[in-house]
Amino acid sequence: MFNHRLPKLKDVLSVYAVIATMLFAWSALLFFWYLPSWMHFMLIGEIAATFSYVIVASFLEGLSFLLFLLVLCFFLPPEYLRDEFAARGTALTLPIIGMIMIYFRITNENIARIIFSVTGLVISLVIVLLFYFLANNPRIKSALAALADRFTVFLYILIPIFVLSLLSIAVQNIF
Amino acid sequence: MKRFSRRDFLKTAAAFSAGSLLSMAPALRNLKAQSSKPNIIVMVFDAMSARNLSVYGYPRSTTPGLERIAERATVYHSHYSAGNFTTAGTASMLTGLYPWTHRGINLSGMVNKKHVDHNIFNLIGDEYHRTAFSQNYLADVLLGQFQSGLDNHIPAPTFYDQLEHPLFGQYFPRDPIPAYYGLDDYLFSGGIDRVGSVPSAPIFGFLNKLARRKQDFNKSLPDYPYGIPNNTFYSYKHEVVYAGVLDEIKNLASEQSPFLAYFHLFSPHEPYRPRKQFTDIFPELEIPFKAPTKFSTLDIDNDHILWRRKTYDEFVADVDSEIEKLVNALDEAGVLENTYLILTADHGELFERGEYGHVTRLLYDAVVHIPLLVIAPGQNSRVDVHHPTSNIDLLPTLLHIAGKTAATDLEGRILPGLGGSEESRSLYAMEAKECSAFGNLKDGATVSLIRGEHKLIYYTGYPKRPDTFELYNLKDDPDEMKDLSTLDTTTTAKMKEEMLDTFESNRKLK
Repeated sequence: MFNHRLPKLKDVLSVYAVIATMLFAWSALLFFWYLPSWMHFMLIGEIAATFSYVIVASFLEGLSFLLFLLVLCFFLPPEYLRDEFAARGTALTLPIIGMIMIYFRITNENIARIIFSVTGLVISLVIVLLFYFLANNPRIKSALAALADRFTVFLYILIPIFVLSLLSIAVQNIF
Repeated sequence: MKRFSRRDFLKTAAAFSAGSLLSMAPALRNLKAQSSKPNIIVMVFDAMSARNLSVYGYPRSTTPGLERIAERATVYHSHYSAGNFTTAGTASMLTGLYPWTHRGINLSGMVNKKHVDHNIFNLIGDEYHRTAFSQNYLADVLLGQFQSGLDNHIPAPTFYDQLEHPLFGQYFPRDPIPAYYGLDDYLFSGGIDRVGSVPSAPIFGFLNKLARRKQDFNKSLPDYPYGIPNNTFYSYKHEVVYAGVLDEIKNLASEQSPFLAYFHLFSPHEPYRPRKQFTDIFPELEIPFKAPTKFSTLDIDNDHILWRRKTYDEFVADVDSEIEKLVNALDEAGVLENTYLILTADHGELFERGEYGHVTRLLYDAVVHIPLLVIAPGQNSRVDVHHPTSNIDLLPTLLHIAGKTAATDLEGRILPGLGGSEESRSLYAMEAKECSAFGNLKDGATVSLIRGEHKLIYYTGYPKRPDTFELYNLKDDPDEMKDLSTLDTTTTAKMKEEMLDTFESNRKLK
């Protein structure tokens, strides 16, 4: 029933790979930024447990964003997003997650305030749409699809880490 | 049938009596324990400055309740926190160590793991039932670190009115530190909605920010003209929190003895939100103007500072009314007959030199001079202690009360009036939020030294600011208006030498 509404599994995995890699990279970067301090505060087991919580949260966050894109696919006409989802999904993922990351690097109160204003919303929307329409260019489209396809390799690392993290949290809290 | 002789009767009676006595033994042991070891309740009121309490002579009648309580308590007039914000002040109080030793010097920081076992809950031992609760998340993180010494760690989101922020850590009580840091602090930047705070989960963090912008906890309500008090994670009402604390204590008193109970309550911490009956109750006050110093990080308009001070004073009066109700209820329930009740704060609050609050580089008295009132079991009269004391003294004092031998590596001493003596000593406080907790404290630190009636403040390592000393005579100039460092050069030189010796020997991580 949903097959004609949802993209191909291979494309979904490619886009998820882009999302997960961006989010894991961000989380891991911050984790290693904090690590020297945590080594003085926490025992090794506590640090490992903290990492597990971070990884599981990051994984779920990625799934949530993917779900958002799939919901868009479901409701939009197929040619808008479902067709060539690998390229179009990547074209939406990169600016949205990228802009949120940039926002969190901003320390200037006034700029931060603008982002939450109508102006900020309009600027963000324009940037996202720009990416989206650029993805219609055949060369950019194939580049984005190829990029997403190459990111899939990271899932072979990320999914086992997620499963291990989830198991360690379950063991600690259930048994 | 054998006849039941007189001898048989005596044997049976003796056996029955022995049996009865044996069956009563646990109860007797409990009674003995109850009579030999007193219970201990520590109540900490976050950001309550002694300088704004009428029980310490503040002109506004902010604490009529504490004034009445003081008539049957030991009142410490020169009690100081070793830090100027929650983590540093609370860690010092609970470990008996100065901030340069425990290293809980950063916002949302923790105690160096080498000193984690050096906390009151652990040191007092399992002879005591140990319960702790903190509404302040920075202090709750410390309780999480000390969890192995606790029999009951009451979750921070208890007795609340409405959650302002999702709290995932509470669903993982076996993992308090990793869950808090991995989820609440790391994922959402500790709920601290400040510019530049970086959550580990950017999308969740961003959505959380959006959701929080929709909430309006500042909304004026008939009973709360400035909004309901909140601790950035949830809103709460004083009457609910204090009723909850009272129930906890009553349960402890009836089921556990002896017990050590630690309650760290958020009010009167900012935002200052007194109930209607406490607003506009104080007249205007003549307060000497203190201009910003070169180490002030803000330059807030003085009228605004005065308005903040007024709402803070009203909030203190609100808290005071609840404290008195709680103490009276404990008294009526007979809990205080075998209990030491300790009323204190983790740090003070400052309304001067262009700043208000306590996230500051400054260490003037307002932000480190804290209340300490102790009601001993059966105490009926007031005792005043003017000798300078520090909150690092609380741990050795509680161990002394519990009949424990204090560890030899303590930096605090037993409080005078509770077994200690009034010998001459130096008291330190340190502020070093801008430094790495594990470096050599060279990226901006302020240290104060109180000896006798003098106080020396040392600012070191702040960018574009030369190292600076200030000297005040707290007896003649309690408002710290007149810097004597260039006038009283003898005292300055002597105290400077002591300060530098101590600070230099403690700069390195131990």
